[in-house]
Amino acid sequence: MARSDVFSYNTDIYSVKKTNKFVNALIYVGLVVWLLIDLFPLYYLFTFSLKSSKEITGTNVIGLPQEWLWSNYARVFQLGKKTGKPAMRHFFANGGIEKCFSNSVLVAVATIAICLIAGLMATYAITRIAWKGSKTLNSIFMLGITIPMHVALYPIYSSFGKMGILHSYASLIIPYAAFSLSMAIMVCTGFMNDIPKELDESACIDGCGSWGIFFHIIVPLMKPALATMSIYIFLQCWNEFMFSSVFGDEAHYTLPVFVSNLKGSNITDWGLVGAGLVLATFPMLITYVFMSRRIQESFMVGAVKG
Amino acid sequence: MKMKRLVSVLLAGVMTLSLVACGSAAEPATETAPAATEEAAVEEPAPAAEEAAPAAEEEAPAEEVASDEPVTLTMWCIATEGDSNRHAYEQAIADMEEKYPNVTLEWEAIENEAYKTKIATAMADGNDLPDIFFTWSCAFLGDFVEQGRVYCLDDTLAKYSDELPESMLGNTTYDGKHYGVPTTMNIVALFANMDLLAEAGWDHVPVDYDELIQCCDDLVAAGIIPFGCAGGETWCVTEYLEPIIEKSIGADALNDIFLGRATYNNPDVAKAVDTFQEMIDKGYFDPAGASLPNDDVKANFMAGRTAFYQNGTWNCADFANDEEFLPKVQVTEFPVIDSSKSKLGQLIGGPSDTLAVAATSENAELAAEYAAELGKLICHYGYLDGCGLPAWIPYGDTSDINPLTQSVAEICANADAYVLFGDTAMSAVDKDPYLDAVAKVYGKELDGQGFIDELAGAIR
Amino acid sequence: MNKKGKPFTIIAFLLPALILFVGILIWPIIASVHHSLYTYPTFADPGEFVGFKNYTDLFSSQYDFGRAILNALILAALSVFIQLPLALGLALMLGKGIKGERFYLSVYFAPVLISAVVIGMLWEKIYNPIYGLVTKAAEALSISVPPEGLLGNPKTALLAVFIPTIWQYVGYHMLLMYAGIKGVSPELREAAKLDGATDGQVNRYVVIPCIKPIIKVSIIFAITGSLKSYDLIKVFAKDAYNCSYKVPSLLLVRYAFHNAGGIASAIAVIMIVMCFGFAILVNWLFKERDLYGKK
Repeated sequence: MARSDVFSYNTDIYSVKKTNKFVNALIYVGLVVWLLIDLFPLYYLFTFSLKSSKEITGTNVIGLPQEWLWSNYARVFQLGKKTGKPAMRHFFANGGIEKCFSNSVLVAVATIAICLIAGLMATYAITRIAWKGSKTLNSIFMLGITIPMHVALYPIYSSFGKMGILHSYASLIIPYAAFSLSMAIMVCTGFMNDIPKELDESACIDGCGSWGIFFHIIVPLMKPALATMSIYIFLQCWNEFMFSSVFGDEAHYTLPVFVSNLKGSNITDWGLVGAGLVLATFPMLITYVFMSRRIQESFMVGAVKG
Repeated sequence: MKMKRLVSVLLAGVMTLSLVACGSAAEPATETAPAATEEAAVEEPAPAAEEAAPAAEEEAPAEEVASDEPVTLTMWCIATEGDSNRHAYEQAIADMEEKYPNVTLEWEAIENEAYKTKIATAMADGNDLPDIFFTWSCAFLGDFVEQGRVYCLDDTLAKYSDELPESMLGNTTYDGKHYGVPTTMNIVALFANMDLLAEAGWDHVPVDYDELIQCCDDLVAAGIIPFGCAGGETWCVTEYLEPIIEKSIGADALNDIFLGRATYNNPDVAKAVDTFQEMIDKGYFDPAGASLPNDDVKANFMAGRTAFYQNGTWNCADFANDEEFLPKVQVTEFPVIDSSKSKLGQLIGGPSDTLAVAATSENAELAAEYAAELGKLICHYGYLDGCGLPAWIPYGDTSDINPLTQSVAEICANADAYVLFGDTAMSAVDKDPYLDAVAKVYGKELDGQGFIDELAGAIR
Repeated sequence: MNKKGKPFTIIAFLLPALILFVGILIWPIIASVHHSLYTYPTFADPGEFVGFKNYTDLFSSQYDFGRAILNALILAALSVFIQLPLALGLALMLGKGIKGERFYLSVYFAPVLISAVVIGMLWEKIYNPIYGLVTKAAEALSISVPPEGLLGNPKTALLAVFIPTIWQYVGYHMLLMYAGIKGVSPELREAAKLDGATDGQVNRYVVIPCIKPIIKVSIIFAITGSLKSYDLIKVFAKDAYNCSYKVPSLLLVRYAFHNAGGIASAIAVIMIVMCFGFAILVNWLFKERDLYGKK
């Protein structure tokens, strides 16, 4: 199925027979109910970030804050940053929410880059070059989707330790890229199969080798695929907690670790925790709101291709 | 002034006690250390403790050079933003920067549970350890000592023998060697909200077990929930169960069980567990606590939902910081259940929070000295903040310390014996079945007999 | 056909992917199989060779691994029989072409983007037996909830933990299926409609057979995702031992760091085998019926 079909639908076509009004109403009720179920936690999270602990834990659980405590947010930015000696400042500058956020972004971008390169090349070898065993290799890559990340925790830790790359960005990026690879190859295969093989053949006649075909024909045509693959890879690595907490350190922690550290062993300051959760979550959601159409389309194209 | 006298009484008391010595339990373990280190040496170039110690001694002259050259030390700890020790750590580190201008300390704090995973993984691997790390004493540190990952502090601590009593080192001594710098010590204590007790007609905390039961009955009759216990975190259940067992079977008997010198197959333990469950059955425990984390249960106690809260004395700081709540709260120890076997002053706790130095540290000797000084300062500031009692001999003006911590000091001054928290005293292998069984007791899946049967089977 | 597949070129193209895949996925699996035959009291020390004892021990009452497997299977079943039908239902409703379609789509997908740690902490508050939303709502409707709360009661805890897990990913599967539904050629639908088919019949006989391949992928993701779920459940479990909702990954991580590397590795091996097994099983089931569902 050509990609353009997915989106060039026309709602009028379906309205051949008017749908039963009652059924229609029922559909809307169902959709709206689920909408509320999805929106309510966000509302709850947002209002609870602006309340005091007393309101959250009893006097005003669901309502809007009686007093809007924007100071909760100011306090989150204070976390991990104390003025002090230069050495202290240097260290603490590493611990704040901005640092964790930029770590998350950096790790995600690098993971996506590595995974795209490795995925594109591997998919090319599997789908465009004829060789015995390419199907088998593809199945093996596909089984990778099912492997739980936890099983690799210790073996990877110990080999990274020997290589001396623990507590670095690489110690997060490499496992994330490896565990996203199967998904990337799966999505990429769908796209690459859409490129007519004749293109390769004519290029071949023109004297292009495999590398030439890859760089001059395949890569330029795969641009839409890159967006889709990036989204799938991003979804896999952005919220990962386990590896980040074990392999990272104060200078390399990502947002999920920041969030879990908000809950110190004796904290009772729920307003602060709420504000931290909002700050860790909402930038992502706001970006999503602005890009949702593109994100969804890429995601959907990937689904159909995969 | 009163406080200073108190402290000296307390320390005199503590020093005469024989604190739980993990070292004796760890003796057979340390014998196997060479085997482990051989293995480690084959797999990775991690220097073993035994090699590191003499090596560092030989390098002793290098220390003078090191004292002016800029050195960077790393430290891992659990004093996250929300932790009550955070303030003490920050102040202590600020002081240390003045004291050691040439040393840059890069430290990081990670949340308690994640920290256990992180340090255990790093220790198992042996590379990339920080120079200084926070650890719990006894079995937790013992595992790392056994793996040959910890630098021996005998030489360093010898210089501090006037300030750090030997009796405080029992939990970090393995095979006669010292491996840790204790910071604070804590015990389990029973906190009572006197306003709620007054509503049930009580003007004092119950002094014996019969009074406690009577008090609980009166509280229930007045519509007040006596106890809050966080079932969501099993260590909080042990804060109730361990004192009940200790006050039923006696400190020595419990200590023997924790350290593997006696089995769980002891009908008195079963009876104590049944006592705990009877209290649950009588509705003394807040049912909402079954799945709640400790934060919430503690908040409930401070908000006046439960009359008692039994937990570590590190909570004194938080209670004291709440001006509204502080006048209402009193602290005491759990009353004796069987006076033929136990008595007042038999407590659960001891020095557990510890700083240790990695054997792999390039500046191990400097790190050891730094850790000792830092530990002393953390102890000092932590004590002033009410985060616990000092393991080091206190100095400076301690008269501003909150009344709760002072009461705890008084309890400790009359202490008869300490049994370290079970999950700290036990090896990692024994800890799991123990905590599993404790969770099952609180969830009413096991009764007293079931508890001792399961543990007698699972542990040794 | 490009027949000039020189081995050197093929290997060069595959190299980056193979290094990542073998180094980070395959090698740890082999290591796990090997570790699972030893005690591994510490990671540096293999301990004694015990053969398959770790596997048999897992099912003793001490490790209670059977319950963890059962819980994971319950979660997988809930995913397949509740989460996916819900996702399919939403996708079908939206796929019809409805006002505000994009808005619904965006909101439904949003939970996927939120960290499980955040969702866990949020739902913990929602379930709080004293001031949680569920408790307050039940009070308002005068429904009795157990005083220990849904999470505290062993009978309800499993479900209470699985609800957020399932809720979070409904949007993910919905979007996958929605994509498939939008890909169904409008002519097909129209033809069916002209033949007098109702909406329900169109869905049943035209749309669903067309999106079978996507449903298959969804099912595989749902099952393997359930078998390896960790982050969210860990937030609820904290360090609670013996909670009624233990799952294999929770035990794996616990034993890996509690001086029982052999046990942890055995759990890892069983998890991998289960994930592979289900993936292959689902694939096979769909192959049998693909005769009808060809796109």
